[in-house]
Amino acid sequence: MTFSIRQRLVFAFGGMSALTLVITVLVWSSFDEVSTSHQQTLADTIPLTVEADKLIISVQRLVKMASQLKSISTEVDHWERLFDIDQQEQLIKNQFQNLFHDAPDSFQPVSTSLEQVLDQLKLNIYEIDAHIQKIIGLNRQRTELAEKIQKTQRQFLAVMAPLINLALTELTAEKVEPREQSRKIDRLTRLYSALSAGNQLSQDLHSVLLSEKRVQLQTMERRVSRTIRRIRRNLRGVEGHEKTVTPVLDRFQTLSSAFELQQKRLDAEKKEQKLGERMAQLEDNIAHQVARLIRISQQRVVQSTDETGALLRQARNVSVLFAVLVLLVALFSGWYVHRQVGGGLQRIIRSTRRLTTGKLDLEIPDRGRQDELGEMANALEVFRQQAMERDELTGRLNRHQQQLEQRVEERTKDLQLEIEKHLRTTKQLEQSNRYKSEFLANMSHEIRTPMNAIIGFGDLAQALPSSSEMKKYIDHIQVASRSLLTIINDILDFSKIEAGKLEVEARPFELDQLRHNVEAILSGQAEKKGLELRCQIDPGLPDWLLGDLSRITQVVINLGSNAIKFTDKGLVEVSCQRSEEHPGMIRIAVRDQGIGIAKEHLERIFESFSQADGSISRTFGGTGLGLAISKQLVSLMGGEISVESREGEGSLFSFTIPYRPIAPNQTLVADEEKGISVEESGVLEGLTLLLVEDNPTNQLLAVTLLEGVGIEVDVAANGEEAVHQVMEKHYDLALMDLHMPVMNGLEATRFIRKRFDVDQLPIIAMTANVMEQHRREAMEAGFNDYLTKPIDQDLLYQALAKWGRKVESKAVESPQSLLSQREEDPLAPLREALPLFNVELLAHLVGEEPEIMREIYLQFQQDTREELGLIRRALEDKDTVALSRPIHTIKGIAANVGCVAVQQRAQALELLLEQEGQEEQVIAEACLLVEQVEEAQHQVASLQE
Amino acid sequence: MIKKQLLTILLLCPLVVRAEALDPLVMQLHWVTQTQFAGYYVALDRGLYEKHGLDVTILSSGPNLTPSKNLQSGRVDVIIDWLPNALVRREQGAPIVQIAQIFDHSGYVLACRKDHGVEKLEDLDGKRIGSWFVGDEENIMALLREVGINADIYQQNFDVTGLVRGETDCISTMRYNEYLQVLNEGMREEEITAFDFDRLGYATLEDGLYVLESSLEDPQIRDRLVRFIAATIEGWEYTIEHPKEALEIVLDHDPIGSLDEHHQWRMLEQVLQLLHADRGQIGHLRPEAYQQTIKLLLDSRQLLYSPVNAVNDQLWKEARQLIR
Repeated sequence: MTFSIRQRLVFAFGGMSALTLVITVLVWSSFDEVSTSHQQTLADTIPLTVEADKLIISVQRLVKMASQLKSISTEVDHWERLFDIDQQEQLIKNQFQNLFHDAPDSFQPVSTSLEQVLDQLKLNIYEIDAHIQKIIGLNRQRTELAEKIQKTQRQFLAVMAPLINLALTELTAEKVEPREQSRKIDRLTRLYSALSAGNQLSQDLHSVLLSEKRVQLQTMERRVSRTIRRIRRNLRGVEGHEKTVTPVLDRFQTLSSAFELQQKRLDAEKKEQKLGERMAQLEDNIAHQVARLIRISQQRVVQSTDETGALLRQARNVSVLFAVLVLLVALFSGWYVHRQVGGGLQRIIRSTRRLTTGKLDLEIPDRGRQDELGEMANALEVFRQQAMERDELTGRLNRHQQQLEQRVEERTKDLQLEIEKHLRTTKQLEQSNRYKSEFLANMSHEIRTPMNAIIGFGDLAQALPSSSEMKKYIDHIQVASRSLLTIINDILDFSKIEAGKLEVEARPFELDQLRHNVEAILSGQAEKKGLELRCQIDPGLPDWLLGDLSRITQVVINLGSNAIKFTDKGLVEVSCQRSEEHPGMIRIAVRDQGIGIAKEHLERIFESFSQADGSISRTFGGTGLGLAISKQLVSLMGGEISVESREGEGSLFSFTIPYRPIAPNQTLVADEEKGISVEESGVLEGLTLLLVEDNPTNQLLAVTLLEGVGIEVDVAANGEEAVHQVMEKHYDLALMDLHMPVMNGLEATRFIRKRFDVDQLPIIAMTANVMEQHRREAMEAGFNDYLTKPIDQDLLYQALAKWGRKVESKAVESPQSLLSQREEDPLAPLREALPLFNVELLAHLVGEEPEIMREIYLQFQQDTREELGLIRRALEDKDTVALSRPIHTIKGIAANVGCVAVQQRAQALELLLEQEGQEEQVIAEACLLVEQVEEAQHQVASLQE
Repeated sequence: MIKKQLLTILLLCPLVVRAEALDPLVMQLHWVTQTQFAGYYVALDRGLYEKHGLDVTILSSGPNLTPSKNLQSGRVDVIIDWLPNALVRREQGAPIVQIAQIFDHSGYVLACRKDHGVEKLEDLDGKRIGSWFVGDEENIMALLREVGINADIYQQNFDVTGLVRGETDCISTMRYNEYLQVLNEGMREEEITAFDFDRLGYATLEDGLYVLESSLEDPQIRDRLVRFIAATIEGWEYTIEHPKEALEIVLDHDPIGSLDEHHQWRMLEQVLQLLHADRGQIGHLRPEAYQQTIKLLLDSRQLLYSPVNAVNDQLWKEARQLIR
């Protein structure tokens, strides 16, 4: 027989409900029993405790009432109190009966002993009462006695007075025999003695009534009787005293009953005290019995609680048993439903779901079942058949579309990946290249410092008298070290170019100086190879040009050295003239008659590490960087470099630079410097100079160089010492290294500048750091000039002459002339209009030419506008990566025009960008930068008006 | 039984005598009421004077009171005095005669602190010694002369604190009074060196009964005096027999009621030692003791001449007859 699912479910849940009902009934009945038993226990004990408590309180009250009996004064009061006590006793009796009327047998011993104690208590109270009554009686007697004593004393005085009067009268009577007079005086004396003794007597008797000690009483008794005797003796021989005084004295004698009375009082009080103590004991005893009672009842509670606990535990176990049973039935039902019904449903659902996803080629299960599931399966089978037919048509169309979309998507993804990869590589490359360059720059700085020492001491050694052999060696050292320096410089330059750090200056220079430099360096080399070196400058060119003399010299020397290197005989010619193709340019060419360059090499000749032939490096040495650097330098200066060559006939290297002539008056200072052999002129003699240098070798070198021309040198080992020394002593000049422990050159100079301006104490920086950025930092810190290490003797002397002399000339100028000079300051309007810009910095670069400077500033405005747009866009997109390029550019532009604030902010931002997780701060800083640049633009805009 | 009968008789006697009228007699002590004078008060209190037909009035004395002047002015019939005083006063012209010598021995003791280095007589050299300067200083000087030493003798107070506090080396005391006070105030006997002048043989006679020469010439008065001596001797005898009662009597006669019972008891004990050991001789002047006193007084030049008729023991002899 088969049941439908519905029927089966009804059976299962019905069974479970029945079981649950059974459990509920069971639990309910057992808890009912527990509660009943508990209530019974409580009903037993709580009233008992309460009644016991009441009993104790009543007993305490009774005891208190008994003790208050003492203070009663009247008879009525006494009876009232006794009545109260009686009532209280009745109350206690009732309470006692309440307490025990249906107490269990276990209370029997307690109740018996408690009853006994209560009886004793009652007896005791009556005894106390009796005693108190006795005391009251005695007290009354005492009061009466005290009155009698007082009365008797008054009587005594009354009877004594006439006797004394009489004695006095007799004494004053005339014609008394001397003996008789003596007797009378004696009598009077005795009367007075008796009088005072009488007073004492009553006093003593009073004090007897107040006495609290037996011993005292005895002494007093003897004293009183003696006093009475004394009075009697003193009265002996006094006429008439027997009638009057003796009865009074007898009365005094009877008053001695005071002793007896007092004795009784003391005894009664003592007894009463004892009774009181006994009372307290009885009270304690009752409290003890009651406590015992409570303890017994508490034990009963504990016992009953234990019983209840056992019952509860039993009930719990039964409940748990049944609960487990219900759980098992429920689990079985669940399992059965899951297996029989759930499984079938699951299969149908699975089939339905697959049908909906279009998989129609399946077998519908359970179709053979007789229950509801079997019917559902049959219905689903019908649905499947219909769906299969419809699906075939739509399926084909969809497949086509899908394929197409997939292909497009894949393609796009590939492209994206490629772009990202490319970007990453580029960034990495840039990064690693920058690291490399920085490393190189640092390295070369480290190398330059010892090089400085080698070359410097080499120079000094050359000047010393020595054997020709020695001289030769020293020459070799010099040559070798200088060529090493050249290589280092090349590497440094190259790395700087690579790192984008090499910057070219635009300073006025004299063309003749260029020729001088070139000849000084190249002629030696040419002579050694027996070549003729010719230097030609077009006389049509002005004497002074604006440009970077050192860089131009570098390129020329580079080309020239190469020419000499690759030429064995003949002529090396350096020429300088206006460019024919580009009128705005100057063309400088180096022509040689050397081995020439093969055509196939010409194309790569300006690339890094490239020499025409691998063998060349072996034959001619060199880093292979020279031409690459030259090309970079030239392009940095805004020109082009080119080469023409024919193998075996020679080469022509030429480059162009912008033609920027300068009017002669601008070159006044430079003119003065021109041609002066400072060393010989003696202008340096007597100058006071502070050398700030930490390296002892360099110290020695510098001191030797400086003292050689008569300068008075003091040495400070670091910035801090320098600051102190400058404060203590006046110096014409300071020569300061930048890198020092404790306090570096920049800090020290900033410090000194707070006290002395650039005119009062010129400070010349001296460092192996050749980066333009460092130079700018130094100028900003307040240095007057900047010399790079290794120190070139001539450059050093020139700088010293320039700044040292300036001070001298300044020193004689009157304050007025200083003032007037300031008024005529051509830079003043610019300075005023551009507070964000260090005008002097630009002036230093381009000369104090307000017009040129203005144009440059306007150019700044134009240049920054574009970059600012980029930054704004990046900020809108919150794309911090996109920020880095425009910020870098702005930094460069700002540095060029001396907009220090913008430059520093941009630099800080760059550092910030390199760190991760600083996006928010980067954005905030970038916003500030934008504001600042806008402000700078605004300031520049005011120049146009 | 006999005593009871006697008591009844004695109690009745005053009534009988009263009817005959008593002869008045006034005597004055030379100090305040104390057990030193127990015999007189006992005689008074027990009615012994009344028995002998006398109405005796005992006047006490004290500092700055001079019983001898009262005697000379007739206010007082009998006084108690020390023998040297009486003899000196007699030589100076006061007509005083001794009729009985109550104390057979002197109670004079020089009490010295042992911790002040006084153990024997020689130790007194250079010490401070207190004296009442009532003639006792002469006894001290006589002793010092005999031993051959010197000391600083000064007038002391009536209390004994000087010695107890150690402010002085020695003070004069009476065995029955000041010496006891010294013990009472905290010094122990073993801390004290006591020089008993009686034993040393440098004592002068103390309490005796003195009257005016004129009293002896008046037969009526002389008769009263004989009876007085008799009653007094009886009083002392009773005191010896009933010292406790005697103490009570003295205390009862204290006019102020301030006497210390204990002190008075010990005083009485000492005083009884000073009486003649032979009860039949109580009140009789011992000739050797008299001679010793005279010698000391003469040696110290307190007396210039040996006294003549300064004592009369005839009355004592008659009194003894009355007692029998």
